[in-house]
Amino acid sequence: MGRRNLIGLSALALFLLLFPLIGKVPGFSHYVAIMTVVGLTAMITMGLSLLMGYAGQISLGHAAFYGLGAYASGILTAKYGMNPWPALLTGVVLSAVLAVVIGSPSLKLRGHYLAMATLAFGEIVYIIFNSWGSLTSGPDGFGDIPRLSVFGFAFDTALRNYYLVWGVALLMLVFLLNLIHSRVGRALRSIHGSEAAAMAMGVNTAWYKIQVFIISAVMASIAGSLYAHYVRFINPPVFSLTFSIKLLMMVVIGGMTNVWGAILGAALITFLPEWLIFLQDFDILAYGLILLLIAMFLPKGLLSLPAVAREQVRRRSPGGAR
Amino acid sequence: MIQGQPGQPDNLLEVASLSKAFGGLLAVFDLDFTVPRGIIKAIIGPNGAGKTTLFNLIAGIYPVDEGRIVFDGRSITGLRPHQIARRGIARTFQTVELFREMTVLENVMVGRHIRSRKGAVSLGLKLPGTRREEAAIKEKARYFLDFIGMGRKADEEAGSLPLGEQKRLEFARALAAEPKLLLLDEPAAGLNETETENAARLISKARESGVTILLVEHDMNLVMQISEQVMVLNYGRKIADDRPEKVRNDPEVVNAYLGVDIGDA
Repeated sequence: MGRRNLIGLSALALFLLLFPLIGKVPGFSHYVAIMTVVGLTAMITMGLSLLMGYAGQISLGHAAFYGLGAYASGILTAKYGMNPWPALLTGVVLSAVLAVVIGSPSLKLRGHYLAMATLAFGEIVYIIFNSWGSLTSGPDGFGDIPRLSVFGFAFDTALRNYYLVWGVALLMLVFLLNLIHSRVGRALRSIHGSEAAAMAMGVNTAWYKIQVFIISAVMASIAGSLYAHYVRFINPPVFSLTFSIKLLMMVVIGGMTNVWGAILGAALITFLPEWLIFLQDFDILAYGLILLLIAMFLPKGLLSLPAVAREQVRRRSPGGAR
Repeated sequence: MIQGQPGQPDNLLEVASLSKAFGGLLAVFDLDFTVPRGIIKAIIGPNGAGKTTLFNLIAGIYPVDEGRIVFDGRSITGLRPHQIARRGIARTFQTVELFREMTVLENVMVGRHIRSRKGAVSLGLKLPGTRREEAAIKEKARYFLDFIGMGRKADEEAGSLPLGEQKRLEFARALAAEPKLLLLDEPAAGLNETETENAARLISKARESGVTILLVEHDMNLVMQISEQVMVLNYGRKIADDRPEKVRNDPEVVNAYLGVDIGDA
């Protein structure tokens, strides 16, 4: 996986371990809860960044996979009394199967057919959440979703859920880093570099794109299940197209082709409303302005900031180019 | 000429009645030819003669209109490009198609793709055996990088290399797949004299290691120097297919090139 990633991973793990201390500071007690949401969101954006950065495809349906995981877990446990773990697995299988069904036809074609197919898929799923009242309780949503527990250890506090969510998110990060630095990762990057040459070297480009799509859908589904057991109440608006678009924004803001950027993007966009709260009704303006500035000056995402800054300093310093 | 081993057809590639049209233009028409196992065969012809189209038909980029392509005794007509690669055909491109943002070594490692098989889930979980396969991929890639004399450049970005080295790298990437048949599309285009000689040496060296080579080339010196057979295409049809010295004196070939001196090497 490379030394830099190992260092990054250790630093991130240490940061996350100590982060709850900030909750002890008066006025910051809700930060642990926000950070838990960041962890859930990062699970989705990491998979999406693989899909966008490496397979060059856009999905507008990842909020739906998130919702499928949440509803599968919520319905099966709260309404049918199933154990949460097989319920989570059911959501994963459902999402994977649907990803194959949507992905296979659209990823065999060149162009942005996946974006269109996932847009439709997201809308259909959203309508089902709202309208299939007997199963989903419709627009009102439903509660009383049980807590997760492992061998009698219940994740029944905000802090325990925080560590659970980030534990899973870090495992996913390790999985993706391993994958990127393997023959499959190289195959994906080769598709990005030259699809003709990748095929000529025996890379089944369509199948690799489908696989990435499935992996990202499964990650979103797991995030959804964890969300359901954490918040214990689900209703449709969380899983709408708006959230799908927000997810894409996070990936782009963080820097595509980089799973680290996807985490950073998820953190920034999730925390921004909190930081802009003092602006009251004008927060949406500041929000837009910040996104605009990033898009204009850091088109390769926040993670490119050090490189861009270095370049600026080098150009402005007397003597010019080194 | 090297004879096939028992049970292997003598001809590695057999093309029969192959045709391909783009709109009203016949790019390749009713073409028959063979590539015997173990030789270097060149395809020459004026621009627009259908040479690159022929390569793209063999490699599966374009679907065949009519005819059959048999490789190593089995039909590959209608297969997709990556399936044809898996059967043992590798290629280079007329306009270099490297993975520009990847390192030199990583480019060659992609060449090992069909020689390795671990899947996404086992790689992501680092299941037993994945580390060993990765090490084997790297070792073989280094071997082929050394083969073309670019071992020292392993960690450079492929897109930053000069054209001559990019073409060599593409050659190494194709060789790394250990193909039975190697298609080279203008291996000397854009190269200077020294680089062209170097390319000729490398191609011959690859053949000695057992790879059959089919190449398209405009540099007649190179063609006459290394090929055992030369096929001439003109307007998508074959007008000659023989040993180089015979082809050079064929009146129809001379006529097709219309005064262009192709033999005075």
